Amino acid sequence: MSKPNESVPLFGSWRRAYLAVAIAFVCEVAFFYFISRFFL
Amino acid sequence: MSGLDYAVLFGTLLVIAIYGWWKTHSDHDLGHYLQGDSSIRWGTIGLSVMATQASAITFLSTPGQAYESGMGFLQNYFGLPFALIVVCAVFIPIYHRLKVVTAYEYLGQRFDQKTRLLGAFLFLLQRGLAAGITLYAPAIILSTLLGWNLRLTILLAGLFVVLYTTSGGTTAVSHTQKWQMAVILAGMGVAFGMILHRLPADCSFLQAVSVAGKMGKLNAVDFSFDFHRRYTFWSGLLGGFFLALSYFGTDQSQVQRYLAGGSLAGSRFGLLFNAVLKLPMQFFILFTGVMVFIFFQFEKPPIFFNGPAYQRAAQGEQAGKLATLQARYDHAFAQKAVAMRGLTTALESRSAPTINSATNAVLRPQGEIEAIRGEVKETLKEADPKAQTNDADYVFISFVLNYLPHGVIGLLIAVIFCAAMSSSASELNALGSTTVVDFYRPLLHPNANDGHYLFASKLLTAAWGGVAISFALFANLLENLIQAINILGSIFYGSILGIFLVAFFLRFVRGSAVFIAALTSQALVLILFYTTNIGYLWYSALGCVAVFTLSALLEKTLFRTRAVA
Repeated sequence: MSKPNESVPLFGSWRRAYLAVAIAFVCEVAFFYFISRFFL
Repeated sequence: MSGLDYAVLFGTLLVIAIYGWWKTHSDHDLGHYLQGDSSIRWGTIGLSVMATQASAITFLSTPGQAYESGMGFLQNYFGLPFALIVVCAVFIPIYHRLKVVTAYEYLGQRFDQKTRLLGAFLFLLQRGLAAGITLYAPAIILSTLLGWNLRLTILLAGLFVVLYTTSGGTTAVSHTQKWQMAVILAGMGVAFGMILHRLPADCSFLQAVSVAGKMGKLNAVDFSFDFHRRYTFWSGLLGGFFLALSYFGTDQSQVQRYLAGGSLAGSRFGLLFNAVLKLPMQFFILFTGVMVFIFFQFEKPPIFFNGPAYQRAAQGEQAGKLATLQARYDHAFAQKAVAMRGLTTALESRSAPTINSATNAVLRPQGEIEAIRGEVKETLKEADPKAQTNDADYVFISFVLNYLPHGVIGLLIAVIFCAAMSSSASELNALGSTTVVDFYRPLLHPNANDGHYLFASKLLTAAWGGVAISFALFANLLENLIQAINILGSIFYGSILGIFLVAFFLRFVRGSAVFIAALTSQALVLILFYTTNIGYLWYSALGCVAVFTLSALLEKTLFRTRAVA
């Protein structure tokens, strides 16, 4: 599978890139939830 | 539509189609035709993947869905980022290492020829028919509202796509999709700005959002554990994960997009681009629908958005009943308009009891309006039992045609055609490639030169274009078939994904076990589909788990015994 030491622009490694996507997902859902509840 | 709209529409479509043809017409390399060239970088791959998934119906139906039932549909995509991470980490490195052109080629290398052909056949069956619907669905809506000739609309859009897809293959598809996506995003941005501009001067953006929230349209996240609800956080995360994993990991129309260009990093970045931006994009499209809903709180919307269908019924035996319903609707809307002004004023007061009271005053006539619309739909059904009573697909385009300025209308119609053409192009490109790589080359003509396969690829891509256009031309005679194809598409994916996951993770399972497990699991999913009413997102998860479990069991029992015997 992916090589842990492979250098990836911007993120350093693919694992960090995947982690960044997961963090972005959490932030996005938190934003959607905030919109759902705040304007209820 | 005015001359300016037609100029914007045809100008946009022609420039993109000619660009696609011009960029690639002199390229005669089979590898470039099937897999693209190095000019396709991660940004192009990202937009190309996004454009393939976003069909015209995305831009016609999704705002209408938000108008009708709020933003819950967004949860459908919650599993997508994680599915794309799995595709990047597991699927893509294997596809690159084995240098496969189609996903099903990998099944042949891992299992056997029959499993490869099963995967490829299911893809051809499902996508071959779906390609026709991709062209038909927007054409029927636009021709109904604009009075265009349905067949001419399908033919023109279809021939444009066939021209540049057949001519330039994967490279042409990826480069045209980049610009089609740019037109789509720009068009939707302009539409959103125009909606806000058309809101009443005394209703600010924040007030509009507050009103939407009070009317239950911002329900984007639902954490309840109800299996019968179509969209919840959990069904979106789990069911959506399996659906997205099967679509992005095993559907050749997507696999061909991210394998284009031949760079592992390019493929991964292109998909991760989608993993981050897909949810905001869907949120934006749904939110646009919610803003259309808010606009129609101040401006009276038609009682039924498919105007021509309503007019036909209003001139027949049901005329009296529809006139009565129209009068009740006008009265209820007048009541709501007054209550709505009260709500916007109450929101300024920031007093919770005042706001709650004003909200209830709006919701009462809103409930009456929804009930009347339900009665109208029943009456239309009485007038014509074959009438389509779901008008959600007509909401956004009706707004565009009736309330946006000329020029912008042309741009928004171009958005819909760009979306239809970009999805169709990926489908035709993938159908042609799969037919050549998985059927023609191994079964019919194994030892020909590249020039022969290039010619066969072009011919078969054009032939699939002909199938798609023909199916679209006669689709109005086959309404039930269309529904069946859409349903079958969503319930086939799980089994196909199961085959791939067994290939990746259960190294001891061989071809015959997974082949029988896939057929059995598909039968199980079909039985569940006809005997229960669980949300459709769960079928992909069920099918996948069934193939995974059954193939392991079969390999350890039935096929192990045979091997020993």
